[in-house]
Amino acid sequence: MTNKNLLVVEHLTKNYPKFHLTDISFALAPGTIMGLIGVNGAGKSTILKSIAGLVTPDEGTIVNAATDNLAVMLGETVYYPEKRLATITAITRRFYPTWDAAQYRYYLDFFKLDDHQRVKTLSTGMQIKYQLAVAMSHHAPVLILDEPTSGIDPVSRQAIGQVLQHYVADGQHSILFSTHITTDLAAVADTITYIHDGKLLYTAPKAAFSAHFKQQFGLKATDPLSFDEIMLKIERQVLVDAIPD
Amino acid sequence: MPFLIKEYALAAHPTTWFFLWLGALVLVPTYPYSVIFFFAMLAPTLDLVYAKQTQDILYTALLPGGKNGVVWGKVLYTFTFQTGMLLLTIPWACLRTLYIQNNPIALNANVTYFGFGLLALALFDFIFLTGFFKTGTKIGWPYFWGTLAALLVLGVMETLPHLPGFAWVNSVQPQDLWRQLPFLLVGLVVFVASFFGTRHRSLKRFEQVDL
Repeated sequence: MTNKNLLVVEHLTKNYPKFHLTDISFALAPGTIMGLIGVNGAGKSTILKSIAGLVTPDEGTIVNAATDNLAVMLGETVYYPEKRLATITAITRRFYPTWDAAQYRYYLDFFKLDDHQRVKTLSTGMQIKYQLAVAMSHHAPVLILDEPTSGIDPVSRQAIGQVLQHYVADGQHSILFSTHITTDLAAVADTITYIHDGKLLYTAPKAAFSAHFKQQFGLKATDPLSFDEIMLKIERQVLVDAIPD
Repeated sequence: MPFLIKEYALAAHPTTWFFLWLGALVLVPTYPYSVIFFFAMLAPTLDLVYAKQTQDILYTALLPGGKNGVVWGKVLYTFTFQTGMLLLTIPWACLRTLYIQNNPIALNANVTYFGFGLLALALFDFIFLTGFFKTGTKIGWPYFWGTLAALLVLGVMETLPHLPGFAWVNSVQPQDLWRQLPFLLVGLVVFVASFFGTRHRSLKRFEQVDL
C-alpha cells in the first residue's frame, strides 16, 4: 500500500455511452474522512461503485487495504423491506470473521434502533442508521458511503457525523463519502475531492481546498467562502462558459 | 455455505416453501405430472423477481465475495431447491405407485419421469440463469427460452410411451423400472454437469455487468 494509505485510486476511467469518468486519482490516508463532492451526475457514485467492485473500470487501478473487509453503504437503497433487522444482521455477520457484536449493540443503542422491527417500518433516517451500524461493526479499514445523509433531518445528520468521526479516531480506519450537502463536508470531512463532469477538479485537505478556491475566485485569504459558494461558483462558471456568445 | 443460507433466509420468496412440497401433486389421480417440473422452474424465477424488488443482488454483491457471490448463491439455491423438491416427490410417487392406479392422462411418476425431469431442469437452469446473469436484470426472455427447452424435453417424455415398442417407458412394474434406469442416470449426469456449466458461464457473464 503506497505510503500506508488505506485506499489508493489511480487513473480510474470508465466510459458509458453518454458519460465518461476520466483519469480519477486520489488516496485515502488512515484516520481521515474524505468527502467526495459534485453535482448529481458528476460521477461520484461511479467512483464509489468502482471501489466497491460493482462497476468494472475500463482503465486504472484501485488498491484497498482489506479487499475482503470493505464496508459499503449506498444511501436510500432499501434492502429486504419485509425482514426484521435482527434477521438481516444474523445472516450478514456470517460473512465477516471480524464481526464485533458489542460494537453493533453499541451503535443500535446510540441510534435508538430496535432490531426486532422490520425494515419497512423504519423511516429513511433510521434505515440509513441501521445500515451504518452494520457497516461499522466489522472493523472494515475503509468505509465507503454514498450520500449517507441525503434525505434525513439535521439532528440525525449530526448524530451520523459524530459516529463517523468516532470511527476514524483510532487512526486505523478511513471513510470516503459522497455528498452534495456541503454542510456535511464542513462538519466531518478532513479532505475534500471535487468531481466535475467525470473529472477530478481538485483534491486537498479542507483548509487548503478553501484557500485554493479563494485564490481561484480572486478573494482574500480572510474573506469568507463556504463550500456551497465554491460549488455554485464552479458550476455557474461552467454554465456561463457553455453559453455561446 | 453462507451464501446458500443467505439465499434461503433473506432472498427466497415466501412461496418457495409452498413450491417445495408441490411434488405431492403426483397423488392426484389424473394429472399431468410434468407440470410439477414447471413449478420447479417457476419458483427460482419468482425468487429472482423478488430479489430485484428487495435489492438482494446489490446487497449480496457488496458482501465479501462480490459479484461472484451473487452467482454462487443463486446457482446453489436453484439447484438445491430443485433437488429438494424432487427428493420430496419420491415418497409421494412411491405411495401413489403402491396404492393408486396408473395415471390415465400422462406419464406415471416412475424412473423415466424423474430422469426426463432432471434433464428438463438442467436445460432450463443453464439457459435461464446464464441468460439472467448476462444483464443481471432481465428475467422474461431467459425464462421463456429456458421453459421452451424444458417443454421440448418433457414433450418427448410424454410422447415416448405412445411410440410402438416403448410402452415400458410408462410402466411402474419393477422389471420395467430397471429398464428405465438409463434415463435417470443420463438425467442425473446432465443435471450435475449443468450445475457446474451454469456456474462457470454465469460467473463469466456477470463479471462484465455493471450494477
